[in-house]
Amino acid sequence: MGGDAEDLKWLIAREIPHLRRYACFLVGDRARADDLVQDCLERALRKRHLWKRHGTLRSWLFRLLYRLHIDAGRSLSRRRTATDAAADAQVSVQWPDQEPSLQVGDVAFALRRLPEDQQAAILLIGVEGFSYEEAARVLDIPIGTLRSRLSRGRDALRAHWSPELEESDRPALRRVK
Amino acid sequence: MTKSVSLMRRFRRLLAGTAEAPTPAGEDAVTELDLLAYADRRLEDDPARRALVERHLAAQPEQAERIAAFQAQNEALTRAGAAWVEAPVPPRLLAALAQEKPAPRRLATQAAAMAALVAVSASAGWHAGIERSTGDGSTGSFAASALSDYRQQPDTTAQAPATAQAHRAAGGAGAGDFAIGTLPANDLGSQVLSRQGLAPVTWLRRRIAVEVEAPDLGAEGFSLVESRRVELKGTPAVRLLYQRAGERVSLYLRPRWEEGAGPVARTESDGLTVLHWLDGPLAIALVTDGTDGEATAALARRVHRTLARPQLVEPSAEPDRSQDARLGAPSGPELLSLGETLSSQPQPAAQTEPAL
Repeated sequence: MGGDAEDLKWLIAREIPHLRRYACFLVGDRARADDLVQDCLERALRKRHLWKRHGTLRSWLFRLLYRLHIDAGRSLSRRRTATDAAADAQVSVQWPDQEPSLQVGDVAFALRRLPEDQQAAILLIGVEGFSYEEAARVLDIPIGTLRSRLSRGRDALRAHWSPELEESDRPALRRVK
Repeated sequence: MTKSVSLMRRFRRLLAGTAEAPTPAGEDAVTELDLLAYADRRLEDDPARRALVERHLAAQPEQAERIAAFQAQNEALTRAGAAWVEAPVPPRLLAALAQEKPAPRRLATQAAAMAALVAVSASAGWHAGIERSTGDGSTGSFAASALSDYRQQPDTTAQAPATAQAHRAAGGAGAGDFAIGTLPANDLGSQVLSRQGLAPVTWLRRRIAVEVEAPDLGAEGFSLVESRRVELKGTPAVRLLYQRAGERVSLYLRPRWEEGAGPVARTESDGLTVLHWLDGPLAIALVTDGTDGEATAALARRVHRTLARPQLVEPSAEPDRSQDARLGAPSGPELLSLGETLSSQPQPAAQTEPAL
């Protein structure tokens, strides 16, 4: 293995935290998210001769990961049961006098109620900082489709989540709808 | 020129307070993509267009509210993801990158999952819950029993625990009783599970499981040294013991039949602190002899973050009769706690490829 391969690995390694974040949001479970990232890394190594045709290394990795996610049907929504639906109706946890980051799990939870293509669009743009062009390429869709996924997804997310739900200091048992 | 005329017109309307929708025309039309790009702060290098969108929004309060909500979503998602992006990268991912051949996945997952699985049979029905008496969200009595268990810990770890059969024989009579006591740690060790490994607990139909991972308190310097099922005033729970240079933290998790959540309460007694709360289908008590209140709160935050959204799952795999034989056929609601692999333990030898 030459120095090029080592450099590539170095570049890929720097993306791991971001890939993990993306995967955690998508699958909603850390262990399975890491499985997904591991698949993605292994695939990336095997196919490393291909990436230069696909724009930046970063967008290529995110594209690989999303494809693997969809192919594997890892999403919780695919194996949703009545019990999961009950879990959906969870109540936001109140943590008096503690930092707000504790409560924002709710938004990640609400996000997972959206279709996967909308989740991915929202995450790539809103969290991972991709440009619209890059995100469209990652998802293999035209800009217009990306736009409508963002709009529809965010409008739907508004229905499930709002910042007031997290900021209110009323005690427990407030249904998050 | 038509552009500036149109802008002037719109500006006058704004000044006059007539907030009617500006008629989209030509380059002035504010498109949905403009609005999204504004919400996503992608117009920072285009002040003219940004100003255009701002004027548009000033005239349309509903749209402005929508765009503000989009911004809030981005911010909240970014905050929620911060912990994941800052977490140390697990060695298995770096290993995957270091090698040419694919890692033995199952094994890697098993070693890293640290899954403490708690399975509760649902033969008493979803709502015929053990939590009835504390349905108001109070965890006080749970905290008290956690505290008393914590005090007894040195004794209980030294004790030779009775077998599951014996506990069943002693307590299995009452329909609503939980009848399982402390099992030897090595007994749990034989039940190491990955997420794929739910099979060993699926021998009972209509089981509802609460699936959680043992929280990783490594960032606070604590390492998990023991996990076992315990009985707190006749109610089963899982106790996770963490240590850091002479300091000891015990985390008690008790599954419950309800989904609510509650505020964090603090109870202090004889130099011990208990933080206790309800988190979905779990009642949680964190007991420590540490005296730093802020550090304890930080531990609780970490636990909460790790346990956020414990999933209620209905394991779907086939029954495993070997477990049946070992534990005996269940009659009432029952808890089975299953051990986790500890990161501090030597990892199981690779059966296929070496991991590195």
